[in-house]
Amino acid sequence: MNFKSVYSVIKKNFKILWRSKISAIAIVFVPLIVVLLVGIGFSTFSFSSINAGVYSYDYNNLTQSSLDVIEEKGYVLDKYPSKTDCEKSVKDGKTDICVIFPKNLSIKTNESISIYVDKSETDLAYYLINTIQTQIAKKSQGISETQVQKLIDLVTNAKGTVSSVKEQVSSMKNDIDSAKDSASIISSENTDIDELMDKLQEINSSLEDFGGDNESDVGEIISTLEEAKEKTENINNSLNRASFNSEKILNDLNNLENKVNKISNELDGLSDKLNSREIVDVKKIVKPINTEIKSINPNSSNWDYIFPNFLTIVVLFCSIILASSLVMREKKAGAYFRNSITSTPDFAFIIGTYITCLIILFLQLIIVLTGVHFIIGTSLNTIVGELALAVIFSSSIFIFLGMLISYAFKSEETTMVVSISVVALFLFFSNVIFPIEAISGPLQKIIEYNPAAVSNSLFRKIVLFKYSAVSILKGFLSLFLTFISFVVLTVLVKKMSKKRI
Amino acid sequence: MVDTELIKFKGVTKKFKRNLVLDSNSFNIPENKITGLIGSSGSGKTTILKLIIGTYKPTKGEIVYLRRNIRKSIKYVERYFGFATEDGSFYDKLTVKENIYYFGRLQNMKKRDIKKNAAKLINLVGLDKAKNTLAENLSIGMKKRLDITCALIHKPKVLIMDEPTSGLDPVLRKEIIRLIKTINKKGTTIMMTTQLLGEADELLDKVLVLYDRKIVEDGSPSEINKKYNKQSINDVFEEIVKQHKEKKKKKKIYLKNPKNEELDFINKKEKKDLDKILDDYEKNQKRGRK
Repeated sequence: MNFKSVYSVIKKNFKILWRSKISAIAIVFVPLIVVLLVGIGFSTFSFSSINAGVYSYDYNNLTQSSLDVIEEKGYVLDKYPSKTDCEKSVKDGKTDICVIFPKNLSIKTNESISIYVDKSETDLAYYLINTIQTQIAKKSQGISETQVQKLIDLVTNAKGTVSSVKEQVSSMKNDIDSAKDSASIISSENTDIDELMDKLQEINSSLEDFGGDNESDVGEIISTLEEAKEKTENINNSLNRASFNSEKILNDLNNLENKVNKISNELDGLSDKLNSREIVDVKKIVKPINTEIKSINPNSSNWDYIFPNFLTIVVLFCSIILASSLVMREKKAGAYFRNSITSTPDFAFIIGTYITCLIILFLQLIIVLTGVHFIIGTSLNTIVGELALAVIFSSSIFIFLGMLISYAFKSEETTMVVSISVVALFLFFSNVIFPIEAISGPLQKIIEYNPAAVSNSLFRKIVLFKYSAVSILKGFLSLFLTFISFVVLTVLVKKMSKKRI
Repeated sequence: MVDTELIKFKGVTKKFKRNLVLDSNSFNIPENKITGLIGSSGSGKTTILKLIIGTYKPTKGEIVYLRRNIRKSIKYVERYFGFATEDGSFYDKLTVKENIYYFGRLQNMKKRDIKKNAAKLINLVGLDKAKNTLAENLSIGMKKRLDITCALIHKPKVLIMDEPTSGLDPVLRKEIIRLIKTINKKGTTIMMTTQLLGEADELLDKVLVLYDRKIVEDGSPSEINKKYNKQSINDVFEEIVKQHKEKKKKKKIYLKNPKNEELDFINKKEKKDLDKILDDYEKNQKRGRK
């Protein structure tokens, strides 16, 4: 292949393009206008001016306060006289969402709030459902918190009661202890009487031994002692009985003490539990598990999230349409026949057209990225190498696909219809419009290799997560293999199309 | 002196799917002469030219260029053949000079050679004053001349021209005829098609008459005129057409119904069947005469 021929083809393409002013403007500047509009429109991406239709059987306090939270979100509320009218307003496009409140909405009823949306507007519908549900959930949480607070107050009161009961139990314990002491004294008194009895017996025995000379006096003493003994024995018996009773009392007191200790322990546990944090914190009771959605890259703006998708669309659309238009223009030119009978091989024309498209696409992207940098403020300095590489890989595939379509079909109309259909098909199954995960079964596996989906994934990884080229080598390899297949197919189809000249 | 056969058709048949366009044609194109292929519109003249340059592949037979099969020697064809089309094959948005230089480059010529050849050719075809004009702004005659220049930039040995004088007024036509003669005098073999038979006697060294998928006459204009005892190729062609129509009409005589009414052919298939019956009938009659 002679590179001078390729250079001539490229030079000729640019001359022709430059001299067809309208085509040049359309090809180079239309994407710029699109990016400007999209950039300005979506740089502060949020759904605004949303009309919410509302119907309630009775606008009670709870309904009204729920409506207030929806209004806080900036929605325009339209109240409808009936449920049917409210639903119809969504069908007619007058409102984006219809919220129906049940009759007598209160925290005691089990009635639920119904939300009607047009799910054909997929993204908006899910956004609205999510927003309204969140707002109503917030309101619901507020009510729950009030109820739980009341419960907490009751528990706090109970804590005070438990504390006072504990004090009383403690005093009871003290009383039991003193009663036990008293009972112990009675028991010890009994021992003293026994000792006294023994002493009296000893004296009695001594007196009987001593009784020879002073028998009458001793006898009198002995009788007195006997009497004392008898009385002491009576006392001893009484004391024994008292001791027996006191032991019983002591046992009872011990049992009582055990029970009081148990109560005291349980009161301590109850008190600890009442003092623990989980029960004290109302929010913890209402919402024991908290979820928080955090961005993987919190410093990214809305535009950053849109940018990879936008880049996919620009590369896909511009590459296919540009390549197919250029080839079709070439085929329709009288010179196409002369080109085909020169010594220059077909591949040189293919490469020439490819390089022309690539240069135009890069001119467009330079304008677009400069616009992004200055208007939206997104800086791509750190990822420009990886991004350029990814754009070259993906645009190369789509340029060859565009050429393939043009060489395959004879008429201009068919080529354009097929090109646009292919763009739409690739776009639908590329994660840009619908998530691939939503597609079922084996089709999903095939779609994963869709070059638009692979490109989109690469752009996202580079723009949002600043991946290096090495870490996304698999994606690049997949694009490269697709590129090779399209090159081979394009060469074959061009050879076949020559027969139709 | 015997003419050197530069290009030779050997029993060439060309079909596009089921449509038979050329039926077993054999003829040759002599070197350094102007050969004209004449025939009515849609008779397959352009098909013959595209077979010569290898764009189409013969269904049967072969085309030979200097003992080489053209299909197997496309590189020679690209190098030694030039093709001037009926509608002009160049870029409207390029100037005359840019077009010539561009096609010179595609023929792998050096810039120096392109410059030299372009200057000579521009002078030869008389486009000096218009060399920096965009092709789209040229007159019809100038466009024809530009197309011829683009076909000649790489100094081909054979110039193939498809209807070079169609759409031109008599003055322009004469200019182009003069140009063709000049190119031929410089040693380029010319093979051209034309429907305008008036120019055939004046211009052509050899005439090939294509009628009903076959080359029915092959010779110099004078030879053919003599054969048919006519004054011009135009008259000869008219005679050929007349004879063939009569021949077909004779065949139709046998296709009458009992009421002596001629049969109408309803569709192609029926016509084809009837033609076959007629051919068989004729063959049988010939055998009977023998």
